[in-house]
Amino acid sequence: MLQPITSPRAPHSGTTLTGAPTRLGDHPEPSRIFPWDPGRMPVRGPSVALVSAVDAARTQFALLAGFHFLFVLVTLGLGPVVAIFQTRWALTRREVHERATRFWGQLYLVNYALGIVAGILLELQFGLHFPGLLDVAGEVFGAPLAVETMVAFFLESTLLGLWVFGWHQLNRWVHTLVFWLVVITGYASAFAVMVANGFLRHPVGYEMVDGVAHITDAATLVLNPAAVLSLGHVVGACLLAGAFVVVGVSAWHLRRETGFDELFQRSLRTGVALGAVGALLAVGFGFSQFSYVTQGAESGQSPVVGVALGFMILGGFALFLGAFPMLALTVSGALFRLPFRRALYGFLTAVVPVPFVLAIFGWLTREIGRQPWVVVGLLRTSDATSAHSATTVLISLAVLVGLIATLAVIDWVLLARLARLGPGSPTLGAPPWHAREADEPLTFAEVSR
Amino acid sequence: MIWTVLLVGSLAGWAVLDGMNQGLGATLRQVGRTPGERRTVLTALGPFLLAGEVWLVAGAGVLLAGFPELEKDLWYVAYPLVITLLVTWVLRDAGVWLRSRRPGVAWRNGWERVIVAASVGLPLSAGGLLGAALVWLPPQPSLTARVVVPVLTALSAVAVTRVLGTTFVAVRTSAVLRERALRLAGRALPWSAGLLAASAVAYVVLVPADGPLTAVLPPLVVLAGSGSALVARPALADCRLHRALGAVVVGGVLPVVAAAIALAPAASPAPTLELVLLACVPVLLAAQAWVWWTFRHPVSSRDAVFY
Repeated sequence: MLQPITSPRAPHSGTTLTGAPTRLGDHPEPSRIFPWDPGRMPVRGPSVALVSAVDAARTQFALLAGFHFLFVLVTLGLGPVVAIFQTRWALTRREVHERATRFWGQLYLVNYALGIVAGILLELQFGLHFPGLLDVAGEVFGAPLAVETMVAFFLESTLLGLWVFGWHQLNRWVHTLVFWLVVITGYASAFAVMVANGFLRHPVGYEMVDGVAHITDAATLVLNPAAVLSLGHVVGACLLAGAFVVVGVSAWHLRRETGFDELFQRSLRTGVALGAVGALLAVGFGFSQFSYVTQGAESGQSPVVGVALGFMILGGFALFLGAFPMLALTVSGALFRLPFRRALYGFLTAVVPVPFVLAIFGWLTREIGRQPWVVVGLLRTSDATSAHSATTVLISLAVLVGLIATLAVIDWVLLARLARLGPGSPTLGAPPWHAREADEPLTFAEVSR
Repeated sequence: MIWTVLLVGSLAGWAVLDGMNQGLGATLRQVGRTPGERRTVLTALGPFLLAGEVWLVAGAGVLLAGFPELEKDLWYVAYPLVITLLVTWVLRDAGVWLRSRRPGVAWRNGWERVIVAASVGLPLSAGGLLGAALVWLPPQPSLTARVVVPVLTALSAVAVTRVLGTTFVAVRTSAVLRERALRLAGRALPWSAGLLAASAVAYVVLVPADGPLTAVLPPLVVLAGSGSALVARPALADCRLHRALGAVVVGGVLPVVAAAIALAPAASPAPTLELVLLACVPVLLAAQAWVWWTFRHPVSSRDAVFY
């Protein structure tokens, strides 16, 4: 049924650094049913458009990945906090730990909702806009992503549903274990994604046969320093983000004396400890990455990279240095008796965005620093981009980024509202007749058996 | 071979398991007439939202790693359909997650309408994409075939998910909600059987026969639609819900499998990865089975209300 036909699409017929021609595709030439798209032109001459299709595709990917990243930071950072409080709850059966689990768990979930939808958009971006990447490195790059989507994320999401809705049905130890599994599979997802991203930055463990990369050494691919060291750095950034959210929200409630002092003092202490670990990991693994970044010739460094890297290193040091006095202050609760504690609480709430800004700088450094390559030394971004016209890609950019930006803002407003409402009556883990609104009588008997 | 099994398994799993969620979403405001009834229907959905959609995330991952050529070509020819699928998927999820996050009649109604529209748009674009894969890759010379087949598969997907979703709601609820869901399921059954048959007939008539498989597969689709309707109809009438659910699930799986066999995509060779993924399948199925088993009963006060 399938016959080899040479594709006239110009971007795919480039040559790699090694001189091997990229595969021209042994598939029938796809037909287009939508005639309004002028992208079928066999050769793209110098573009007169304001934005080239390559730029539009890169911008779309960068913005979607940026939004996804902001939510993933909180998912991975807040996960351990929820798991720690639930473990304490299972051990002590104290109400303060139950409330903390439900309060932070609810914020975790509302944040997770946007993380997952932004991730869905991201998963199809490679095939939509960077088909050359699949041509040349689909087998190598796709492998960790398949493990991520089919195993790690599949288990994470399935078990998260079980955790939320099995709240009153599972044994408390099983319920706690389910959430720890959600956290562990979440980190496994992050590792798989870093293996894929690490290959782009520092391709190892493969060989080129007829212009197509094949895995020759799975262990080298997985243990790529660009994956392992980056994972340490990213985990640090996630813990920092989670810590800043927990500390910032706790400080807000302590400053206003909303009546949950014990819960938020415990949360703040947990947050500071987590943040200290995060700062250590982020800074340590951050510098370790120069080991592979400086190897091999970097070409065309953008000034944006230098600026972003500079700010990230500066911010990283500030957080690292700030972690020690904060840790010291949490010893025997000195922080909560300071004379100027209200000002400190206000400061801690105001700085919540800091780790997010730094993480975006880090991500810009990583991705722009790799340009003009999509796989360093192997495939240029311009050779990987699809033959769609700039207009087509700009329309999908406006639709998808507009959608996710709108939903992100709605989600952040909701998160802020839920954080302000406090742990009085979170929906998560409430009995059904407390979870619903007053005008929503449920259509089943609302009495416990 | 393993790649093909993984791809067909994940896509067929998504078609029926998330198909139930899509049908539930599409009929949310018909089955539930008051805010409380709708909240109950969303509670019935609860754990199955994430457990259903992960199958397509998995399928897309398998497509990326195992069938990069197919993904590249299909995404290229069907670009607007892929974008529509993404938008409707995101909106369906956003609607379910956000609808109950704050009080307010307008807020709730707004998101409910988003859920309904997106839950129709999602199977519409997914069904269209499957039909497009059949007649745009490889390209059929006849423009009629290239338009009619995807349109019919898209409509079939809407009808099939409607049957799946209402039967699922009937299993997961009780009293008035179950009655309404059963009535809607009974009404949608002839549509799903008829549209599946029409899709198969259109494919046979408009697409030139190519080998023995094309002679077997379309009748299989007709049989799947009509056979499942013939079994499900009396089962729904007698309130033998698990029998009805089984019948409509088989009726939903077979057309997807038939379409996948007709496509016969060529997988990229990655023997190690295939085996790693295959080895994980029992764990994944166990996690899914745990969810289905835990939440097999109609919703009651033991269930957590969140969505």
